[in-house]
Amino acid sequence: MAEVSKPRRTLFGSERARDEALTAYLFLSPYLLVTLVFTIGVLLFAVYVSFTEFNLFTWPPTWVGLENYKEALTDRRFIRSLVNAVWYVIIVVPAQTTLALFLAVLINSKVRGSNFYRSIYYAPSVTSSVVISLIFWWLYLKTGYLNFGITEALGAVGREWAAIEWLNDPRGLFQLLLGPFGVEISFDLWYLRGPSITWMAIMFQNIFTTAPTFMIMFLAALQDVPPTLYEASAIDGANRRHRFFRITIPMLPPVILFIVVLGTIGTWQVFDQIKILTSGGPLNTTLTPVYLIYVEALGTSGPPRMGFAGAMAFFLAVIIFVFTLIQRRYIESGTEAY
Amino acid sequence: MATTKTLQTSKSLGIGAEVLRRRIGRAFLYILLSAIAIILFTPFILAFFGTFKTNAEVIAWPPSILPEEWLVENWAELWNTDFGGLPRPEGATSLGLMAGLFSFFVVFLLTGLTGEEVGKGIPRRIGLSVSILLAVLAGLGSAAYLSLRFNPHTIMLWTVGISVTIFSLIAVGILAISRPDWRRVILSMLGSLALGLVVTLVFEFLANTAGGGRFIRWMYNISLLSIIRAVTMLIFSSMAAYAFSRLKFPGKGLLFGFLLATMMIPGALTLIPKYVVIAKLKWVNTAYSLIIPSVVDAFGIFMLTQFLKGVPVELEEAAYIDGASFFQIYKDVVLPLAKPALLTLFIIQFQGMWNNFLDALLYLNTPDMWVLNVALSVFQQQYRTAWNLILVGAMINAVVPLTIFFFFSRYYIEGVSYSGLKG
Repeated sequence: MAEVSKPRRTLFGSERARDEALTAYLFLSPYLLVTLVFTIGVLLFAVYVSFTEFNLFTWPPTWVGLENYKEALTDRRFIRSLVNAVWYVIIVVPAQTTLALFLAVLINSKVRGSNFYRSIYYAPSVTSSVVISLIFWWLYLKTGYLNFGITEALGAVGREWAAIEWLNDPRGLFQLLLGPFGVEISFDLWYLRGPSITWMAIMFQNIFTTAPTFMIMFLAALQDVPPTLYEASAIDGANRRHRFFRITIPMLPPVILFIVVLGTIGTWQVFDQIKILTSGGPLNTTLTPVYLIYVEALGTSGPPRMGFAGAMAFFLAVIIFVFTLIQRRYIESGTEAY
Repeated sequence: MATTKTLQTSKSLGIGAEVLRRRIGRAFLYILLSAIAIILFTPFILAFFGTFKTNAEVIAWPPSILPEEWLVENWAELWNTDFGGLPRPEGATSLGLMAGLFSFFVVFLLTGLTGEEVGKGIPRRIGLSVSILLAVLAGLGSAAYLSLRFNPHTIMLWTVGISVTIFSLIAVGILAISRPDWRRVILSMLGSLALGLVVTLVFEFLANTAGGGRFIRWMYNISLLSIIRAVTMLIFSSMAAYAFSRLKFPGKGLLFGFLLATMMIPGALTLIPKYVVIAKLKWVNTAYSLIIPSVVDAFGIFMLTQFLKGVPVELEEAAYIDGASFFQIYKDVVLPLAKPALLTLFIIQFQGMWNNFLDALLYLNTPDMWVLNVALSVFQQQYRTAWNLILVGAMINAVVPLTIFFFFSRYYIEGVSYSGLKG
């Protein structure tokens, strides 16, 4: 085109520069519009509501200052939900990371059809958490397959098993462990009881569904290990075990850190399973921060209190934000594939 | 190397023993891999068999694996049951309107430009003003259509009308900057608007036909929402990614930093205030609530920007020298090159919407607007004892993601490696 080759002066310099800038702003406009309203606008609104007392029926909000924050810090259920979340993170994150690494290493060993196994392992994770929860709800019944499996297994070594109602059992882990030694932990000391059986059942379900996802990420990292390293070590006479512990594992810490952080962010925000399976019960042992925020905001257990929910959301956001910062540093350190 | 090893072992063990040992190791590995696969699939297999049992059999002790009698009719029973939600005009119209706007936007952008006849026909001044007028008319038209179909809140008329106008204006602007043949732009805009109207009517009719409280309606809702949301996200994310990775403009670094910063805002924080905003706009129980705020997302832009940075630009430079506009380059050169990344992103977003529970639970709470996940959770609470039917519902929901996974597993797996960024 003749006109393109003739540079003309405009606001942005040449005609090309002007076209580029205008095109760019137009291409970005949907993003900017939506983000300004539904991210930035909503974020500012979130700050505002956390200082007010209101719900959809008592519009406009009334200003209460720091009351909601003070209340959140002393609210028994909120503290409870944070403690539950800490248990969840402590148990689920190491377990799912280890399992994922194990699966990834297993698939990465040069077998024919490793792609096939990779797909098969990942397939259950494509279904929604609602579907998985419904299926586990059924497996966890008192007459369900889990109790049946344990009964059969223990029966084979001649021991009895009293079927457990997995999703309705508030007994804590430490309570169970210490019980045989005659130590009783009263209900007031709930924080010493440890995660309840129900909570651990949900943890198990979560490990089951997230490990394959993290396995894929580990696999991607393992396949980035330069094959020359393995070849060189093989020439030096290293066997399989040596290669795994001396080459593969030392290459992994950044990926492990990344997956641990990612898993941690995810586990702080558990909601679906709680909504479907337990509604926070029994005895609040499976109450999570996001579920509590949801319940408070919609008023499922009393009048809706959106300001209070907003204040709790801020505390939760601070915790998550710390982990996000760690993750962000990892992303920016140059490993862009993850 | 291999020979020395064999020689060494052949001295101590004999060749046969070495080969045997390795074969056993290999066989053990395969057995282990297969055993894990079976364990991971066991819940699904048990649940699948459970869908064919009677309810008593599903919860009997000791549990059996295979059903005594295969009750295929369980599936038909759940599928055909009407759970008694009345179809509301708001919901059906919003679904139709979103589908219409979506098809107008795509078809207009695809047909509005040709390489030929630049500068001929209608002058820019007239062409642009007519197109802008048409865009405003499209917004007014949708508002008028809304009030024709039911008796909506004024705020809904405004917000929907303005949203439609803005999206039409963006489309006009994109074409205007490509020095188009205006006669063609106006013709294709008229055509696309007509098509949008037809699509609106058809999809609204389909929603009404599916009824209020049946599985087919929920399947319809979630399919439509997932497809529209995934494709619009793809279009707008790739446009923004093209701008970030290719174009020079003032404020680029600042905007990209802003993008990265918004990605760090935890979803839990904005959950409730966003719900309040949507409720104040009167968008609850309509398709707008899930589509308009999510036409584009930071993660998709970031992922595609990273992808495009790795694609060489020579082709695009050549196209520019040949007189192609930036929009043409984006449409005809960049998008085809980015196909694998786009497919990956589509799958992430489609699956994300299909499996989304919290947003759908908040925004869609009348039976006619439920999506499968929400319907299942309500169904589970109301029919706690119909275990076999609950399992059927779970399987109906799982079928679609599993089928797509079966065909596109490679892209899924690519997507997982990327989606770590999502946080």
